[in-house]
Amino acid sequence: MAKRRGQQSLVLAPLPVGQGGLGSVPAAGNLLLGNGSQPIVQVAPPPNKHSLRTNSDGTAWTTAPECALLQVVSSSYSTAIACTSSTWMFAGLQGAIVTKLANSKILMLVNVAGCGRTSTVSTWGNLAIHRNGTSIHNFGFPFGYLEEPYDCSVGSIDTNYLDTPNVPAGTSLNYQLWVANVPSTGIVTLHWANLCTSTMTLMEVAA
Amino acid sequence: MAQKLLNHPLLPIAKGGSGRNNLPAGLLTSSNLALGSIPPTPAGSVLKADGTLWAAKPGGKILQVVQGLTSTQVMTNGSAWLDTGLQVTITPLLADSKILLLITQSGVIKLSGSSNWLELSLWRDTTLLAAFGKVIGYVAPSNAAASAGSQSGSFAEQPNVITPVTYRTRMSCAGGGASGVVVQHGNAATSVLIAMEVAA
Repeated sequence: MAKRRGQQSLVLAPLPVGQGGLGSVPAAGNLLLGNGSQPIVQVAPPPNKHSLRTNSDGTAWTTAPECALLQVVSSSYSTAIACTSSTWMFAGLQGAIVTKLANSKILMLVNVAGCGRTSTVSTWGNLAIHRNGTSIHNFGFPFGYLEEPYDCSVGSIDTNYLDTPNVPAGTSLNYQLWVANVPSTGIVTLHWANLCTSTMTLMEVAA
Repeated sequence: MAQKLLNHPLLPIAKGGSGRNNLPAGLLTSSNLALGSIPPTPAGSVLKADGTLWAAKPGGKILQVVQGLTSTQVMTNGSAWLDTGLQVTITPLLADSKILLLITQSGVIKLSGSSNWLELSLWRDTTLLAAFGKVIGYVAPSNAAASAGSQSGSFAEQPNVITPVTYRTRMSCAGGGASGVVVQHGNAATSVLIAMEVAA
């Protein structure tokens, strides 16, 4: 049976934009962008770890790498610590974060304020970060070392560290600052006289 | 019937059309009357939902984070820049990204014997970016050894490439004396160099 002319046009040609159509037939799974009087623009799904975002001058939607930073938490501590032993001790500063995704990395920014030692030649300090009871990063050694019998202050000691705990989503991670006095003949101090504040900032970074 | 449909000036939503005689720029959104859109503004936004509506909202900027570590002691008594062994390589995902660098050089010490001091700098390949540590460990009038523990710095720059870029720190012994300077003293502390890609 012969098709009528109107039926054939409806099947072969997408309805134009000017008549309330899309101007082209979209493929399955694409996002559709309006384009004025022109047919729709299709955006196919981008590679993994990409998202849809506006471009740098705000004129178009485009696919681009997605943000890797998932959350930020911070904590502080300012009670003076006096360490007289070469045995590691908890220095009061700690931060906790619960992972949102599996296998995330934790970027930490740590500022230890008011660091120094008393007037004994053979005394200096050592600092470490523990994660859930295990030492993961040693830094600051040998702070306050001075080959003269004077008090010695170094002000603040900073560290940054990207931890890879390899844990599932929802895992609680507790990071702590620990200090030791080497070789423990004098006193190593942190947060001098309760007058300065140490800080720990934890950032979850998607794997 | 079909011919009648084609001749209609504007196919409405109820008939499977857009309900409009043009398609507004942006992501098309459904409606009972006519398709709407979410325009691509403001710049750098991502598509987010608030539980009711889709909208362009400010997007995150940190695209990736990588880290370089070393605990190997390096010593020098020369004034020429010497690699400390601390470096990190990052391949930017976008050409207009900035790279934010966070540096912790641990175990820094000036040895006894003269009034030297340690200097530290950050480099991209062979380009000096920043001298982030100066006069470290200097003690006067004594020639005693001294340590500040660690030295930190941060720096952001735009390499304008999507090929691997290597950043490193270098050290020198300044002051003209004969005694040396050390980083990662005694292999007992870890230096860290973190590179973060920040979208434009």
